[in-house]
Amino acid sequence: MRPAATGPARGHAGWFLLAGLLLLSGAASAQTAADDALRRYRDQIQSSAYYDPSDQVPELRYGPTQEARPGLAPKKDAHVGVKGYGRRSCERCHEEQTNNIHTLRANNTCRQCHGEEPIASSAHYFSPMNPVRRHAYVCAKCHEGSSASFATYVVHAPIPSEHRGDFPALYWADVFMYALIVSVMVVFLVHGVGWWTREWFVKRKSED
Amino acid sequence: MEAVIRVRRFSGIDRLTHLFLIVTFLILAVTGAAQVVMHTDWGRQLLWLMGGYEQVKAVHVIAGWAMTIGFVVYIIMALARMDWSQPVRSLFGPDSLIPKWRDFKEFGQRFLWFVGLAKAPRFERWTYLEKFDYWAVFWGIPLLFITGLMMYYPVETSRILPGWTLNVAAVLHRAEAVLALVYIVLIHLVFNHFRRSTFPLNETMFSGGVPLDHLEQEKPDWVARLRKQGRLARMGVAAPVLWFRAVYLLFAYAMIAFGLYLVLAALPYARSFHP
Repeated sequence: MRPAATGPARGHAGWFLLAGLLLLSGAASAQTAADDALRRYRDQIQSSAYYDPSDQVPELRYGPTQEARPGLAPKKDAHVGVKGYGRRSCERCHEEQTNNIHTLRANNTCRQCHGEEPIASSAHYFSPMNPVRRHAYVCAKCHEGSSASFATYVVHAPIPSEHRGDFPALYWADVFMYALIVSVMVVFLVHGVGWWTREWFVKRKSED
Repeated sequence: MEAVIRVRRFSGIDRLTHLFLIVTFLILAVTGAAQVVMHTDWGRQLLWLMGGYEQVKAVHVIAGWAMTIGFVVYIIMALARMDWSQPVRSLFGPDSLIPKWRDFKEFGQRFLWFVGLAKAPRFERWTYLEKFDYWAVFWGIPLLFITGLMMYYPVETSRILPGWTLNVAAVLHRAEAVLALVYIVLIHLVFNHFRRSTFPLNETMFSGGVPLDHLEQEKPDWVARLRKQGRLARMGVAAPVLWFRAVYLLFAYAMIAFGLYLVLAALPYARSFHP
């Protein structure tokens, strides 16, 4: 039988073991960061909703007017580089976005839907506003049972006349109703004034 | 010589239906306006007077259901009142409210009469304007009901239709409500009640009857037909008793004043009515 390794040999082995552990721990810490991102991504993807196997999984889409602007890379923090960002309120830069029934009627704050810092671009896979999870992460907080279809409702009320290209149904509904209101009121106001005036003179003549 | 001095134009059911429509419409108008402008001073005052947003919303929904159910009941009643032994005559005869070519001709003729280029049209039982008012309800109530239902049940709606149709529904609902309010107040009320021949109030829809001499001026062809058919004598109606007249005059003026108030008070907030 070979004798067991004695003192000096065991000391070298210890150093090798320590170096190995250090190397491994470095690799492991890099791996942990990647794992965290991956886990976060996977968790959010997988928890976006539950669909009954018999259901057809809905197509997860943006609503009209909500498509990411072409050529603009989604950012994990959409406000990087905005000067004085920490001291500004959301409304200071996004005032027109406050004109919606969620803000005006339900007193929702921006953070309640858009989340805490960092606020990612809606196209970024971390963002709760991403269509893959918006209905579950944002809408379902108040609207229980909301689906991906539900999330295509455009919360920040778009001005119809500005969305002929990207929201034609809204644009044409608005044009039709405006045309109807204006035509009905013009025709019948002219009619009414003509009727009132003519009758006034006819009656006065007959009374005389 | 004819003994008839007042002719019956509307039955008790007709008048009750109209009364129901006035009440539900004005409730819907004020509760709807309060919700749209709730972020303004006027909106806050309206909400405070009516018990807050949740209560106003609930009343709006209940009144909407009531109006729609009343509308369906009315359609059933109208179908029941049809003369099914003569369906074509019932639908297209002179007593029918279905528009005919004659209405379009009378519409044009009346514009010419305004400027002295033609004689006044000799109207039959229903004028083109009465038919327009009548059929506007058939367009307005279903549109307001369907879009209102969509907005009240958004999650359920989005299972049938894409969620963005709720944006379209909001536009349609609000615009149709604005059209209904301004048309009824500025056209229907003003020109029905404040003309020289009807001032201070066109009482026909409240009392149910109209003086024969007035009817002969307004609808000469109808009176002529009734005389020819020998029906005029059977259509006489007593003048309303004083207390009843006082009640409906007060009620009508309160409703007219309320409608005018809503339109005038909403004017400064016209932009808020745009979604």
